[in-house]
Amino acid sequence: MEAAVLERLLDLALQKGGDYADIYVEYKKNSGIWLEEDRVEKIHSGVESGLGIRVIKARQTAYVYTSDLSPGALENAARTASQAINRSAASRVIPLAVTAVKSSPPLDSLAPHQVPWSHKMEQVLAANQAARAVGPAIRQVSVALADLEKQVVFANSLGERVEDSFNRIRGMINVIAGRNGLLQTGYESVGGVSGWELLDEQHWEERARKAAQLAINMLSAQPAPAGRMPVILSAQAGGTMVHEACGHGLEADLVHKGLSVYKGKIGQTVASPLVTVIDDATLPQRYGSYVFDDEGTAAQATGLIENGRLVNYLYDRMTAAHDKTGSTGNGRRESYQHKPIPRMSNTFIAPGKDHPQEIISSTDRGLLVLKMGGGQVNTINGDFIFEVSEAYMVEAGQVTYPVRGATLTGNGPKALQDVDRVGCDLGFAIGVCGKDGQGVPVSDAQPTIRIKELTVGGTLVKPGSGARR
Amino acid sequence: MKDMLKSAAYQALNYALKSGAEVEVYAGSHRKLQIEVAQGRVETLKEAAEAGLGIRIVNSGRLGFAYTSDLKPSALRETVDTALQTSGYMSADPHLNLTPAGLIYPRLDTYDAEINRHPIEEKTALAQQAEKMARAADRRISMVERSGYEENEFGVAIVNSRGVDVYERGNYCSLYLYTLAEQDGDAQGGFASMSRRSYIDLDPERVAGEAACRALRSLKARGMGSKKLPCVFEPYVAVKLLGLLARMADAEAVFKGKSLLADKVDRSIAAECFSVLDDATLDGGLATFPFDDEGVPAQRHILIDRGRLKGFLYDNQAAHRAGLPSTGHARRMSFRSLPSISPSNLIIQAGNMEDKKMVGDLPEGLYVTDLMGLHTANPVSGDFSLGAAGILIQKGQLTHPVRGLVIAGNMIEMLQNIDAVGTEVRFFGSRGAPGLRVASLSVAGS
Repeated sequence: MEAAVLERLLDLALQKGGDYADIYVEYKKNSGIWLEEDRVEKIHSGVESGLGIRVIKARQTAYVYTSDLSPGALENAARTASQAINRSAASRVIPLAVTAVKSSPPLDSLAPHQVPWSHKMEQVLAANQAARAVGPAIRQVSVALADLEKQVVFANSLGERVEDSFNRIRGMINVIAGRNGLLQTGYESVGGVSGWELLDEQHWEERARKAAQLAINMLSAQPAPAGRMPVILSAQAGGTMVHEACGHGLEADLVHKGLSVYKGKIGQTVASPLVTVIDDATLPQRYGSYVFDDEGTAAQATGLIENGRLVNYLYDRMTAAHDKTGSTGNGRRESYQHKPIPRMSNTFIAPGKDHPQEIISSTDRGLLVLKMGGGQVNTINGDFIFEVSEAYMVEAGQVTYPVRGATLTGNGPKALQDVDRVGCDLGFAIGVCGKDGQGVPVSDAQPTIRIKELTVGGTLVKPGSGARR
Repeated sequence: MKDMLKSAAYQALNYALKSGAEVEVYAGSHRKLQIEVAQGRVETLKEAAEAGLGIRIVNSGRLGFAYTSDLKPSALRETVDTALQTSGYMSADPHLNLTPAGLIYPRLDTYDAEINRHPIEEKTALAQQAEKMARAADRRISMVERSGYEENEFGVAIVNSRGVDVYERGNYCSLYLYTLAEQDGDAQGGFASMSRRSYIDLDPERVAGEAACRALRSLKARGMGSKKLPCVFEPYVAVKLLGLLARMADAEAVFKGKSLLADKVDRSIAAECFSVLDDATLDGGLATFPFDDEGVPAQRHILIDRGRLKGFLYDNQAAHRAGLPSTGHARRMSFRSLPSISPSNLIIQAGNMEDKKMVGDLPEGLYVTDLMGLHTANPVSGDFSLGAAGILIQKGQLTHPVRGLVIAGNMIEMLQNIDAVGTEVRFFGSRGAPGLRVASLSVAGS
């Protein structure tokens, strides 16, 4: 979209006043393949474009979007936005910079549209076969591969113009294994802001075998015990815990609204001195990486908790202005249909000094978690519950037997205070994080850590367990 | 909008027919208005319009699908070409079939012109009024994070190569509130919403009261020990369990061995007091619409009749596989997605015990007000282990709130253990339920 058109729309958007206006134009191509029951069941492919206009006046936001990019529809959208909250004289729009700041995927990266459908199909089938070959107990394998090519044009009334284009790939394998009426599942996923080479780099077929092996292993698992005990979260479990139980509470909009346990605690100790938490959108090829956030701010690494001390929050432009600070480059949106809000990118606990094996061998009795499942957190008080997909009992410093059906419940800030060992390793997990009805791709990571005590909810309730104070 | 959607749909259909394949075009439009208020002022006002179409091509039994938001003739042709091209990579499925012409559609009231007629200022005032009422409900309500009004209007046109040609539009409006209650250093959030097909049915007082109550009653919750207890699920929670049941009643999940209900048709899976109905024709229902997203007429089906499983939810493809007619349960999120099976208005039918008596009967029990992590329940085994919060019942009285609990069990065992069903069905979106009481569940505390 040409600079002159963008300027005209920004002018229209601020014709009745306002502090700031911006425009986000998106063009994207999606495609995906879904396999189940040994056959490709679904292929989809789509193109979509749209534009969102935002006008901010003090703490008010008007947001108008349209999938109709005809000149009439665009002007109409800009006018609607201008009328939504403003009733005053026109505000000034600074002319857009002559040259836009641009980013694009590396030249040696293979864009999804360059990969023939036949090759994508082969890779889906290969993962299916790799998983099925692991053992006769495999009952069902589902494989999904999805890719996105996206171009964004962003411009605002401060004269900034950014053009960004990138590709994103995601693949997942879900396996069900069965024996004697018992069914268990195993799940693996790969993903990143990358071209098609990501599948090789992240060992796609090997991941399929891993998912199958997990499902089979869990068939011989015993019901998880219930009660309070030390929990070791392995690096390979990824950082779901830090993302859910801590990260959301550091998003500035939740802090401002008083919905975060971290409100007013900058400079205070909020975690064990062993814990350092960073959000870094600049990590190469990670699922939550970007060059610019979705309001044109360059991505950055942001220290959030340093050696247990809270040092910063995650900001977008609007929340940063409120705190008279700069955006941390965390203003993100799902698509042109949404206004940007503060979000995480790649969030992780920084590695420490302990050897992961030594953390296990120094644990008298506890739960070792190798893979997390879904979870939910109440950001107001920090309470969380997580499902555990793969876990083992640790007894007298030894990993003894696999357990199934375990959940972890606890309180995020309390759990971070209770971290007493931090490993020197680091493992990532990916996901789509939901907030205010918007999903954005994120990754999270942590080293192997031990939490002194969490409530393990299992299906095995021992009489008299719990209620120890 | 009707003309635009139909014209685009027919352009795509006519072009695709030249390939000789079977074709279906789904064209959808969506308009949305959302007003969010905080501290009496408009914080966000959002207005949106989008349209697009999705094309399914059945090419000798092989399915191709592509979508576009660009409705220009050249873009429509490219989308058809992509759908055709991808169909070439698929294996044939003998069960794929499109809806035939000549079906009879119920006449349903899905559009309230009043929603559009009222000015934005009035809708803003509704949200402001709700915020004020919630704040005034109790001194401990320290904040209303957001109070919102939202309206959605959508149009759907479906045409296919067998001669189906349907269009309908619908709309609904909603009020919702997020509250925060604080007392002695404890803070608890509360949420309530109300969605109605008629503007006049929106009731800010009721939403505000509920959002305030949900936050207040959770304040100063304690922990509790682990034990087996009778549990009363309030309607809000019963509806969440209904979602889990819907996943298991999906015929595709059944065929794929992903549902524990697979071999249980005509068998008893729940207590006799438990019946579930799916009704796409329900007057005022949020999912009420004359046809599903493949153009199959809206229907009414009893899924569980006095504890006995009567059948599953089908779209055209699953129905063909089962040798049955479609039950009209094909749903799409938007023009961007292929249809998949999903319930319409899904309702646990009212029973004969008042909520008060359900609690009053119990010497000890748990009144469950929230369940977390339902999506983690295993639809194959039925095993679940869910985060829970509630209010402890002692000597037939609700006493103090408890949180940080885990309720574990098995779906079928739990359904069979239901010993009372409430008299008043409450709707949350398109799902409705009365209160439910389960004789015993394992509750793990801390």
